[in-house]
Amino acid sequence: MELRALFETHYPSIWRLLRRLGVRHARVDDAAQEVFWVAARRLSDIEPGREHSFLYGVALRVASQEVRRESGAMPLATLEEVPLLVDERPSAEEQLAERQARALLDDALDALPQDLRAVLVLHELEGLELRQIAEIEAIPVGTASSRLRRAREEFSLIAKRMRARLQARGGNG
Amino acid sequence: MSSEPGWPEETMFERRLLASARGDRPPHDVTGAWTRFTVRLGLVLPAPGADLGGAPAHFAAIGARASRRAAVKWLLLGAFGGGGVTAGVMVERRAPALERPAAQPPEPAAAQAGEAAPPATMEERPPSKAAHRATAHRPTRAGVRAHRAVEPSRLAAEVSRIDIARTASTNGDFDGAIRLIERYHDDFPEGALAPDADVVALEAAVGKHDRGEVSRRARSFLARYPNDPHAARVRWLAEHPLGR
Repeated sequence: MELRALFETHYPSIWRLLRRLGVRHARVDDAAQEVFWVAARRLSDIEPGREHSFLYGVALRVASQEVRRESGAMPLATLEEVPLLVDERPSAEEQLAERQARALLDDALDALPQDLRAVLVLHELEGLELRQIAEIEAIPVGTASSRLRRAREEFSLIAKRMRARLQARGGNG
Repeated sequence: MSSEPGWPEETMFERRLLASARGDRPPHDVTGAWTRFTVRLGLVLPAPGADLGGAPAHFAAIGARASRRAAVKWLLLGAFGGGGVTAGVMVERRAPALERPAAQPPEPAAAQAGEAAPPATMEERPPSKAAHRATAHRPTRAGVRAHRAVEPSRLAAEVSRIDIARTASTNGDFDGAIRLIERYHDDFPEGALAPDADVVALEAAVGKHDRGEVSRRARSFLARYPNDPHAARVRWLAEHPLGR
């Protein structure tokens, strides 16, 4: 696949992946371009049909660097700092507008360790199978499975706390 | 094979959070992103007053500084890169419509973009001390040229450092190439191009005819990056440590 076709086919999904991996909104485009810069330099090495896996692997590395650099520059949000959405509608679920839900999702993901976050994002949001994740992360499938289990447990806990806080704030049971 | 673990107790709320990500899209269209990408590669100049789709202004500044001479340097860089992909060739071939005519001088655009350029960003910082150390060991004029041709962003610095090492190896300075790669790893412990760097060091070890080092480096590479696109070549080199 030639560079432009690769870029046009995969840019949106790489952008979305980087965002969910914790790259700040203002930096996502730069980070996505870094991913494709690496791809440009290694285009002949990318096996046909494996472009997505290759790009995901590079995106994980780029995101990891970005997040590490950013975490040195500014403190990550803690769960206590998760924005409280004030809305008088009856339930927490119904309060969530799309954008607000994404903001909460990003806060919840920010609270996960990066290795768990990556597996959760790749599986739940990008729809990759454990086998594919294991290949991209160069880890055994069992490790990927274990990370997914822990990621889901932690994400569930965080989501429960968020939901409770939303409902408390909204005066809903 | 491990079976997929289930959710402990997935709620509607969690599903709603996760589903919200599916509608997330880049704020700009792909064509605009591609234009910014080619500008960033330094092969295409932004048209005067061009709307880069909200691109950070430093892209415009970088693009404006990039003359066709810079593009040629990129191509040279690719040529020195040996097996590396010459992105510039692809871009140049694929995106002629995005280019300004060659006869059009870059200076007005540079001035224009310069006015709009923000304070120095990460992409425009002076090279780090590490980068200076690397250039202090630059082995060839080509390496110097390559280093200067690329903007000193972190990734560009990585590219430059690896290309300098590769150039050293190409010129027969195998020990120098390996030293440069070791310095690269010191300065970029989580480098995005770490596998590429390791392949350069491995090939330098092949150039030295050092079977032990080739074997050690190949094993280390395959342990860390078993699915890397370079893995097949590294396996071959492990079996043919003299490169034949």
